[in-house]
Amino acid sequence: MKILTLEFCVGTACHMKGTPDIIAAVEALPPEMRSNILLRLTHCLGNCGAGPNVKFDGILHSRVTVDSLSDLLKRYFQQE
Amino acid sequence: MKLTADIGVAKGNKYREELCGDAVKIIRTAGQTTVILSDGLGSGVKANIVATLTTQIATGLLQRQVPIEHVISTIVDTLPTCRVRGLAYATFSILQIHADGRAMLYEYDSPPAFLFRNDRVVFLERTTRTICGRTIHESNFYVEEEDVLLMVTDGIINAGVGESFDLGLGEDGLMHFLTSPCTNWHSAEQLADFIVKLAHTCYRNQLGDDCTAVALRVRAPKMVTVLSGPPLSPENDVAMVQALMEGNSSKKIVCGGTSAKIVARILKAEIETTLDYIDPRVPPVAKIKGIDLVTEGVLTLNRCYEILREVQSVCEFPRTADGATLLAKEIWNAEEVRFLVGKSFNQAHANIEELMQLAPRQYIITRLVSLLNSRGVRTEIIYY
Ligand code: FES
Repeated sequence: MKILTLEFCVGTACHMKGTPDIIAAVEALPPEMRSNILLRLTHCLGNCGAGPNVKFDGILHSRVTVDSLSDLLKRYFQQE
Repeated sequence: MKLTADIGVAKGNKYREELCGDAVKIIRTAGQTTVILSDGLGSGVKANIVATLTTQIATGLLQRQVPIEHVISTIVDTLPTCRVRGLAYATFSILQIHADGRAMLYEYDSPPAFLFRNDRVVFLERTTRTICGRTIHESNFYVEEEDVLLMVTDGIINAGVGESFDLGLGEDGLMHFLTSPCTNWHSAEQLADFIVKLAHTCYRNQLGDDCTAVALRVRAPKMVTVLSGPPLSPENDVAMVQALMEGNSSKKIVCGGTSAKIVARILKAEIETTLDYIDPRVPPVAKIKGIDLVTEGVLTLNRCYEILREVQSVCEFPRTADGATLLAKEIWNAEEVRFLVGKSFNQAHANIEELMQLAPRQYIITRLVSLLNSRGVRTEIIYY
């Protein structure tokens, strides 16, 4: 299976809007899912107003929440 | 030659005691560093109160520029004497190091302080003086760069008495450990930690007395340059980064994601973000080649201010390596801090700052500066 890269913005704005919680949620995923994810942190992605920002497989997603990300992940892994 | 000292403090409470009966105070002003170490008789609350009282009196008076002789006579005069044992309730040592290397040591009933030079113990000549009927040992000497001074309370000298050693670790025993080739320590902090750990071992992990070690390492003053915030006009980017890079002896710190990008662009270096959220309050640190520390901006500065405001000594620093703690430690160890502050305003932060009641960058830096000034650190702010 292809490794999925998630890049989390840890700039001030995104951090305040909840990046740490989302990262914690990813870390807590079941191992078969987590092991296919490469987690990276980046600096401000220049879209602070709409944080938290996450690059999901290279595509920028804004206003991400734990739920919206887990939906994205579910869909992604079903496709694969 | 200007000199100052890194100071490491480590403490251990007597087994089953909540409070430490030893107290340490460090006063730094531009021209001198003073350490006051006091050991209250006995242990627990009473000892803690007398020891704290002793260091507080000394600190209060020294900060008001009262000559040291008067400080000592005041303490000696104020110290209560134990009715049962006929001893003073607290012992103390005061060590003062001046920027020109002059050092003065005053000891009242406490174990002698040691000076190490090139890994050897240097004998300090002492004279005795009677102040208010009590005998004070006094020593005047000069320190050099890389000298190490060590002050301990008797808990350490007597470590393991009747258990590991008949008569305790003793001064010679301690010296033996410290000068033996297999003990390596690099910083004052590590040396102090090592000694208290040694005491723990001698007492087989149940300290028979409060133990405190204060280690000083003499060095040339340190300078730190902190760059934070993008300049109002991008034309000034280069000038600001140049100001950061000039002066080889200074530590270089960048606070802020956007600032880090500017620095990396001008230095033609990569930003490497680390993966660790060590403290959830503070975003992770990053790395840029040639820069000593790269952190996030506003949150880190606010937290750093909080840390610096709260801690009174090195041993109170959080033992984590998050951006704010690292920054606070660098600043704490410096004698001169230069802030290069960009005045550009980040609109995206405005409402978050309000929401979280965070102080905006320029404001928090001014507060940091006044805090540092009150502790005798020289500061400078340059706006861009
Ligand atoms: S802080 Fe995340 S996009 Fe700016």
